Amino acid sequence: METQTYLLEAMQTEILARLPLKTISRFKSVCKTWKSTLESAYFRHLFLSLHRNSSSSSSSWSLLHGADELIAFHGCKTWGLPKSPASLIPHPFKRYLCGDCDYVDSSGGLVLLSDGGDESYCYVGNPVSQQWVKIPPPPPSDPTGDDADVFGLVTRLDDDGVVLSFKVIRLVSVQWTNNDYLLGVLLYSSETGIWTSKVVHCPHQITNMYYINLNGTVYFTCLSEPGVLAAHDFYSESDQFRVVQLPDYPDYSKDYKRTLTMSGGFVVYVRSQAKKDETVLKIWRLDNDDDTWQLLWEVSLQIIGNYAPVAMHPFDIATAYLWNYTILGHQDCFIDESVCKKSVDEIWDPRSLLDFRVCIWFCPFVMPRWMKPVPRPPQAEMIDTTSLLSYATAIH
Amino acid sequence: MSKKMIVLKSSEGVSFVVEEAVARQSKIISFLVEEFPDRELPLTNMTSEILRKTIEYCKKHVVEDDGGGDSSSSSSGDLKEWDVKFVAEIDQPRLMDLLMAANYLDIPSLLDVTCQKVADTIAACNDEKEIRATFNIENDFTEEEVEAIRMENQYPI
Repeated sequence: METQTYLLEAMQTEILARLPLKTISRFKSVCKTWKSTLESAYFRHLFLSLHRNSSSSSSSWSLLHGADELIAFHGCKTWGLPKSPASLIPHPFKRYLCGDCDYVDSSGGLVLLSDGGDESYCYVGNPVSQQWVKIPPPPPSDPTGDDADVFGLVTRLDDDGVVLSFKVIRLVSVQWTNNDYLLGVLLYSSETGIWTSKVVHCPHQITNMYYINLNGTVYFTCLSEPGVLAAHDFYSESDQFRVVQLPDYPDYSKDYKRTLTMSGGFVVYVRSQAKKDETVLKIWRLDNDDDTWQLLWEVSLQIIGNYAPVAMHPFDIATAYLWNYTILGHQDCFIDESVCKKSVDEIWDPRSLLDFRVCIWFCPFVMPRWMKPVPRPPQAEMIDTTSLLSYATAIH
Repeated sequence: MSKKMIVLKSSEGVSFVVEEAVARQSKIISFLVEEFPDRELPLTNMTSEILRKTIEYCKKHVVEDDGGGDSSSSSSGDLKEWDVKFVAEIDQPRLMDLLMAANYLDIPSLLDVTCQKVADTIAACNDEKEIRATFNIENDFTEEEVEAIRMENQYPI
């Protein structure tokens, strides 16, 4: 026994770095040396480097279309979750943009829930750690605050993709005058714990509010001007949307199926084209510094038919998902075929007007590579999932 | 051309004759055979049993160079399966010794599988008490401290 204790101490960091994240937090109470090891910067560094090597199998994520889960990965070594990430989102809230309690958005592994019964409150939290921040309503002094819809969540991430802070966005107004599109919002910052208002200008009309968010920035693809997307960093001082031209504009074919998604910390534009005896897939990555596109892949797949890109692997930029086959990568995930078929057919129905747009209707909910407590805003109330659910059931 | 052999000597003084390519998976041995080409290497802190196990692992993982480029003696899937079986058959105290041997001889892949096996044992424990009992760790927290840590790190799933 003595040698065992000695060995554990000597090799403690090496051994503990191979535990899943869920277990790591649970076993901080074993003894003081374990706790200080598990909380050290060296340990985090070692954990991340060990799990980065096998990137595509060491992540847990769900691809959502509304409340429907299209793809689910959960068996990864990093987290060791018994269920898919999306299935951990508290149930009464798992209704998307219809009904009273809504799952609104996710960012950096955090989830934003709006409380339809009491519009002025919303919740940001981590469904795995079951920590939630009760976000207070906007101040009554703001006449627009009351009916401002809970719209979105953005997060600031560190180099390892772990959340440093978050902002909740409420949509106050949209206005289109003299070629100037105005988006009025209220922003709640986890750093200050207060609401501030902001008006952002865009030279083109945003015709559909579907978007993706990455590292503080929101990207819209449905604009009155074809071939561009509009991006705004809600952490910046700027009051303008950046307009980014799509890499293939003005090249256009009605056979293109296009989506904007995220992978490896970048915004990614994926396009498939059905040809007579093959499917051509092109994937571009948006460079964060200067808004230029880099073509990563151009591959001809020996598959025939209407294949639509639905997602990229969140960490592995060499894995793309096309309906209805998994390509260029892993087969070891759960794919709900009936849900896929229903949602994809709906979106890419040949008669549908949506055919001409870049699709961002599929939302990945991705667990980060490392776990930290949910940022706690000054004065905000932290609650667990049981309390969250009791609010929900009290209202309905 | 005959294969180059080297001699490894355990703490009991038992000599093991192994192919140099097999032993060179240890970064330490690899360094030593370059410095002292014709000597046997005494491994005074490794028992014959653990040394035999370590050599068995290295033999399985040696990359054979047939002149036609590197080719592993087994496919990576088979190797993984073999590794799992290899560590599963070893009892806890010997696993710890093997882990230390992998660390001492600097054999990264063996260190990885042995650490993973110990981690799996820890993860399978229901609570911190079971871990303390399994690994003979003394609890140096007060009741209040344990409760505070538990409140901060609740993961009921």
